[in-house]
Amino acid sequence: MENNEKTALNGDIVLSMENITKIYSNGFVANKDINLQLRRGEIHGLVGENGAGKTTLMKVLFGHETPERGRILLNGQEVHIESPIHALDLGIGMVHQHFMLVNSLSVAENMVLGTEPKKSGVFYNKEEAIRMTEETAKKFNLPVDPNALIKDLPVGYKQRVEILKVLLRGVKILILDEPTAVLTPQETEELFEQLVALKKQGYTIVFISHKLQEVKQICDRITVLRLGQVTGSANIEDVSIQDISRMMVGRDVMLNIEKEKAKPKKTVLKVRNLIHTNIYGVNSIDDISFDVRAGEILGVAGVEGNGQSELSETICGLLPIKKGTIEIDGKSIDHKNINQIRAMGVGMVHEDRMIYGVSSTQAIQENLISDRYTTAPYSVHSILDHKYIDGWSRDRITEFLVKCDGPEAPVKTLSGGNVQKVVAAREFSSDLKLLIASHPTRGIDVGATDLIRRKIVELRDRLDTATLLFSADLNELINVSDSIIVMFEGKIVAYFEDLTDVTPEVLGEYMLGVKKQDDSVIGGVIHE
Amino acid sequence: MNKKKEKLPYLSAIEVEKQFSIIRTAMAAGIAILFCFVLIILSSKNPSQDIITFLTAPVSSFNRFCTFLIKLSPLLFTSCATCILFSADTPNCSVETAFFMGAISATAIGTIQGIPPVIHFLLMALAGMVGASIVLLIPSLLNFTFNANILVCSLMLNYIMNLLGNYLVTGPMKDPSAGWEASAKIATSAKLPKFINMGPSQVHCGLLIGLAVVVLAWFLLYKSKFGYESRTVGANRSFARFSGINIGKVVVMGSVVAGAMTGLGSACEISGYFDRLQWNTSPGYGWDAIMIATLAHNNPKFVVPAAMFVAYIRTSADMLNITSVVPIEVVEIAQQVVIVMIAAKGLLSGLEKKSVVKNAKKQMAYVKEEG
Repeated sequence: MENNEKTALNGDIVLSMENITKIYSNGFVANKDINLQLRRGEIHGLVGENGAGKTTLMKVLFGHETPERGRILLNGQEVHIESPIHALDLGIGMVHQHFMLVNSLSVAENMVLGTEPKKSGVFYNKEEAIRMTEETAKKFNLPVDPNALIKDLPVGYKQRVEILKVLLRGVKILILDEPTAVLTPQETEELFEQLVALKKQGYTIVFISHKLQEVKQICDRITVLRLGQVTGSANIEDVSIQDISRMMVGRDVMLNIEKEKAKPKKTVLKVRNLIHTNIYGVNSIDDISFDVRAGEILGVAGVEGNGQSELSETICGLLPIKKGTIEIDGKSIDHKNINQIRAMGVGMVHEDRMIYGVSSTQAIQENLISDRYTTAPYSVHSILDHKYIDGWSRDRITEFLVKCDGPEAPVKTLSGGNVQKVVAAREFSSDLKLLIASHPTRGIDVGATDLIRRKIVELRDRLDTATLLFSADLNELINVSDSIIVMFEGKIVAYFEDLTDVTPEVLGEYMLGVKKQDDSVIGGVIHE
Repeated sequence: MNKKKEKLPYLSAIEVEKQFSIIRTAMAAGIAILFCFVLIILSSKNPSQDIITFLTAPVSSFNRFCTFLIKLSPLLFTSCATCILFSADTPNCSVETAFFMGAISATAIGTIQGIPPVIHFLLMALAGMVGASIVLLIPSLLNFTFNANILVCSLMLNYIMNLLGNYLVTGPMKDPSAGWEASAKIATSAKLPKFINMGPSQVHCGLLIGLAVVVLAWFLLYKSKFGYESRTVGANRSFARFSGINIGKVVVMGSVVAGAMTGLGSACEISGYFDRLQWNTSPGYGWDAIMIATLAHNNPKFVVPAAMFVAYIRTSADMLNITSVVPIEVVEIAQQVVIVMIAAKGLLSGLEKKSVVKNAKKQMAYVKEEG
């Protein structure tokens, strides 16, 4: 093989994937002739934009998908991995991006799920499960409480349980699919320490990510994927972040949006004493008040599950207002339906784009008109003007650089980034007074991310749109927003009017509830 | 945009999907017919003769062809109604008894004497529409107000409506002078004219109205605001809601439109084909419509061929019933086979995947060549 590298000092090759080609049943070629080699005792970064084929490649390795071509060699011997159970037996384990834990069960019960120790061959042996959990936790120096229920645990802790779970199965190769996506900066640091410790014990770790800073920090070697193909493999010290990003995107990218200082005008969105109680009787939004002014982008930071989803859904009208008031341009939205709220000039990007953002079996143009088909020129006397819609859709496709076969193509034929461009093309193309954008760039490629961020800033400058931006990507929040509020346990715990000195680490401390600003500072987000 | 799409040496996944959808439908129909053959061979005393009858009966004489057209006519109405309901993902199966109730209310008007001709039929059609719409609205409104399951409600409602209809036809509406259980005669002023009228070979204008309804249904579903709403609600309810579409309104509107089509069909059938209403239970056009709509992928464009297929084998079965010992249930079995085959989305999925992979490889090679 021409790309057989010299055996490096830091370890033998434990696993190699050769010429892997995977074609999905919708015709999408996710992997084309991919070669990947993993060495013992290394952290190998698998880097690429979303849709580049990282997860697919790892699913092939973990037995989730069968490749159309190619082979896998484990310790020099060819293996056919048929299922995840088989993969685990071979010593390959995967920690998924979305945790595969049963919320109502305890840590120990989750740890042994599928391989439960038995008493007299029939009954579940609880003591043994707890013992096994404690033993594994001690061995790897990853302390957990075996009796705690998963649902009570913070995200970082859950991830630790996931990692322990595969380690308990005797895994030697550990695949982590975007492990830091849900973590705060502090939790990420902790995870990295754990990974380095595992590496020193001879474990091989595949670290999937598109956050280059982290890759640079933790990985020994990287393999970069673009559009289903390998664009390069390298030792981490030989490449700069710029190099990696060029390999990922195929060109130089500037992810920093250049924008002028905001010139806020009158208040558009006014939220006062809003309380939302969830079905468990917990206040997921706990008495919050803030304003967003015209021509201003207010970012909302917070670890997932601290009330941000409820807040955005309440403003959009998906959830009813239980207590408190929300006003848009001085008019209350209480008891208004989504249609009426949209008619007030509100654009909405929901965080769950495949459920709320698009209808995947319908054509792109049908997705583009869903919030405006009732009005002229899209329809006249209840009849759709297909000719106009077609032309208008083509314009939107051009403007938002949607890669597709034309306006008639079903949305399900598009990649994630292009799906989100369709959402943006619809939501950003009316005279917006207010934009509620939830995780508008989550999981999409750099090109689409850049486009969407620029469009948000452009709306602010061109139409004086007031924007409420929710994002888990703290760099995005700091870069795109004019001011930021931080939510913790349903409350606003910090308000940064000026972002000059704000870093992800600063935000992280408030997001974790370690720090809280004085009420008078937080009150600054109310502009009366 | 001026250049025409050049012919590529490969098919996209969407094209393969379309191709297999056609193959699957043809295969379902083919296997259903084969099934009929087997059943005929098993039950017949003269299999070869009966199979020929089964295959050719509807086109073997003009008279039989007219019978085929008459059977086709009501199916067009009920199938379009079902397409509209199913497009919005409203699994309302009450079209069956909505047709029956439409017929009853149409008859109630049709039997009144002394109304001027054209107006009489229009009133009768209106009554049919209202009757059928009410039936179809019940499951939708129960779903809307109490979040009741539409499928379950509509199936149960069919029992209630059948019993109610049976009571009305055999009780209050019964004509004592008829001698059997039937309503009074439809007034001549309410009768639809025949557009084929050659001795025993007669076909009423209901068929023409039915074809117009097919065009209307297609236009409504694919060209109007209402159709866009329905299809969007059917494709992704959460998306529709988040876009500001009023789902309750769409579902209710759909029931009314479907009811109107069904009821118009009942009125045409009663006024065109019968002298009196003599059903004591619903005639089954709603059930056939579910199969036709499924065959047609809920698109009225394909309703005519799909309905012709069903009307054809039904006519054949009727003929067999007269000319041989083969039971008419043969067709029922064949129909269920078609439904199962169409519903089985996994059918041929292995082959489809292979075709997708083959085309994807061709595409990769092509892209490499062309740069």
